[in-house]
Amino acid sequence: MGGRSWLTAVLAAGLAAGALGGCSPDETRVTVVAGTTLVDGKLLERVAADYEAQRPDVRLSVVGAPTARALALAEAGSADVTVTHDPSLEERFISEGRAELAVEVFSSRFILAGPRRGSASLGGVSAVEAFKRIAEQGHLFVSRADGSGTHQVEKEIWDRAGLDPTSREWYVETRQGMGLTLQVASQREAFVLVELSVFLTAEETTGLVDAALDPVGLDNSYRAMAVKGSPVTDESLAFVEWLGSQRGREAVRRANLELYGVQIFEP
Amino acid sequence: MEFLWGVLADAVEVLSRAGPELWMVVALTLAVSAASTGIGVLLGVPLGAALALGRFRGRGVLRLAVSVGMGFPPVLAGLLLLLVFWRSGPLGGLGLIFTPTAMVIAQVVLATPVAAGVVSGSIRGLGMVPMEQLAALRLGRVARGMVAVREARAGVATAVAASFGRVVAEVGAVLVVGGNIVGETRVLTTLIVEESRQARFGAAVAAGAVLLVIALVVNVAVGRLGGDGP
Amino acid sequence: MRVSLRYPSRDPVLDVEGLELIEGRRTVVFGPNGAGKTTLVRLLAGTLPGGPEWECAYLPQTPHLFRGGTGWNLGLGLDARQSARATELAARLGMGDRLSEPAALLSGGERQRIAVARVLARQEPWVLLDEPLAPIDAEDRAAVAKLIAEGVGDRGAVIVTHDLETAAALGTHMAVLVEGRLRQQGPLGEVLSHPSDSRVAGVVGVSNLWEGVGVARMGSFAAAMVGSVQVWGVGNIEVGTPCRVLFRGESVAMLGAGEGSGSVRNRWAGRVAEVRQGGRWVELEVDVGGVEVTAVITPGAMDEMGLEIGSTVVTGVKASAVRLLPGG
Repeated sequence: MGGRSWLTAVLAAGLAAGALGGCSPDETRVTVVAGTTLVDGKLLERVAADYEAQRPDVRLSVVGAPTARALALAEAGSADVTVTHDPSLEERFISEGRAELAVEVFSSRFILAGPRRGSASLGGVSAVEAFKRIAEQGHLFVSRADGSGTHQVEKEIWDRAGLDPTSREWYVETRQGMGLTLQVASQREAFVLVELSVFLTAEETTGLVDAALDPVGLDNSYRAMAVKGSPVTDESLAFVEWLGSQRGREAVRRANLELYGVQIFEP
Repeated sequence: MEFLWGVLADAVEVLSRAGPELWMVVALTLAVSAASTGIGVLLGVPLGAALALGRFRGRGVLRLAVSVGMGFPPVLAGLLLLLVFWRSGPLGGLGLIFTPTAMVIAQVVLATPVAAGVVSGSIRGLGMVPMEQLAALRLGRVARGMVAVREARAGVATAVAASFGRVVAEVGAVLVVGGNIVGETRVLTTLIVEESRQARFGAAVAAGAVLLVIALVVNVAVGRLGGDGP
Repeated sequence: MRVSLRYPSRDPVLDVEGLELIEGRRTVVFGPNGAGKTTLVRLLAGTLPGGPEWECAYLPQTPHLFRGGTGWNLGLGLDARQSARATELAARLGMGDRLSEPAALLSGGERQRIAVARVLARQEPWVLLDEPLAPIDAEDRAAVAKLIAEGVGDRGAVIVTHDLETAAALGTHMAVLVEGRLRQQGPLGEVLSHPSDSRVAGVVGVSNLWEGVGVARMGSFAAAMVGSVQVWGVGNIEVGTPCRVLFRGESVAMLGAGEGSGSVRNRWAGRVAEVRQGGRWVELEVDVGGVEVTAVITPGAMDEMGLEIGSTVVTGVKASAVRLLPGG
């Protein structure tokens, strides 16, 4: 192969790579910022792929972020759609008129995971009661402490228990995502509040068990919102509507089955 | 430009009201880096001297290991140690994962080959005449190594600076084995990663500035001690 | 002891068969630059692989003092007793008050003195010295040579040099190395006065080396008695002590009987005992009162003077062409 044809081949390969990686001009890109759990667990990726198959003119870019930050990104105009799980923050967002459309799309639930021995005595008690006992015994508890939906739920439980664990030596704050927080809990043999799908995915490596609390107050409902003022409002609205529709729900069920074998994120 | 100025202004503000939380991160950074550099140099200098002077079985393999070690990807070192120290792993019983001790161990793994490689290179770089004289002195192994290391003092200073530079700037290994836990295993580099990820760019730049100052001060100080500035 | 050395083992640059090293004797390995002398001594010292397994003290060609004190350097590799001996030797070499100084401040000659004191204080049965006098100023060489001869004592030594005076001052035996091959070896005086072939003669020259005793001193000149012959020459020797007399065959003039003396201080009458024809040169052995003078002259001069075995001649050497060296 001569020098020139070699160069041509390289250029052609470069252009081909560019075309694959980039976005063709007739597609509309919609940025979806979703809770890290949904993204890390690949649920939203599956659902998005389903949607893209039906709407080839739309490309969904799925980005993971803790709820508080996802909403902040939306405020800053960096997100077209949010899928989050902190009702109070979401309601504020809506009341400020920032959402074009808000739909509750599915819900999973939180569980308290912990070392086998400590967890046995907590079976069936309420979350508030379990947290009280953990505090009494001074058992290690690992918190994400990152403003995520999971962290919000955890804080609410401590509030209801009338306790403030921050700065207690048995209370470890990672200020990071669920994955790392779960690892720390596993390695320190500590309790941790964790979303069910994440727990199931990592169950083998962590060695932690579900303390099997009374599920009341531990549900985790996700809300999808089309952000007002987005340059692709039509496409965002269509996606959020679809998520709440019969077809969207079916897509979520399918994704659940493929990923977990059971319905974790129930539409 | 406006964006960058804004970040810079934020960074200055973060630094001006930096509280104990930042200083704790700085202190842990210094402690972990200093400990791992110290241990790394203590192990690396004799290893480097042995590689440069010794004739023993397995020297070729060891030399290769040091070469590989000098360029070993930190995050891979972190991963391997994570597996070793994982609670159900081979050394899980020690309970070291996500502790500063694990971070020091990871960084010793990174620093030792650097120190050994630099010292070995500078001893071999002493040249033919001193090496011939050294052989002529008929010293024991240890004494021979000590004379050579003393002669290559500037190389030892470089080894300290290079090891410290590698560990203080390193993020992959400490992130994986340390976990970047607030108040426990968070160091400047992992803080920068976290702040960048959360788009708190001002705080990230502030931490970066502190890191830069530390790296600079240590390098200059070590250069002075070694007697040879850059 | 006979030693054979090859280096490198394939296509050797140095290939020496049967180098004879005699215990209690000091063998000079002589050769021009590039002859392989340093490779040879490094093989003997064990700093290159392939030499004999033996115990030897070794002074490398360029002694190096390490960063640190002079006294610390002097004691490197020595035990307490040897250190004391090294300090004593260094003092005799004029380094006594320099031991507290950093080694970096020493001149080349001073470093060499420290290295010489250090190597002589060792106690291995063999001593290897590579160009031991090269960094020493000319006027100090005799004193250092004397100390080396004394320091080696009755041990065996191998001295590598390309300098004839160093060889004459330090050696008892000589091996001539040319282009990595051993060309001749034997007692020093014999090799110097009887080179085995023109190649060796070209390298070493033809010289007279006599053993004598100092008898007089006059300025920078001194006189020695060799048998019944008196020799004047240049050198710092003690009256009444053994010395060596060195002069080249080319420096010897055939004066003919009764010829005027001119500036020639040394005039010895004798008989031609041997004639060796060597192409462009002729070597004559002249017996002057029981001492052999080797002279190198041109065949033309030989014919002109009608010299043959048995002829009576007067040989003469200018005192400035004769070196008197201390030692026995």
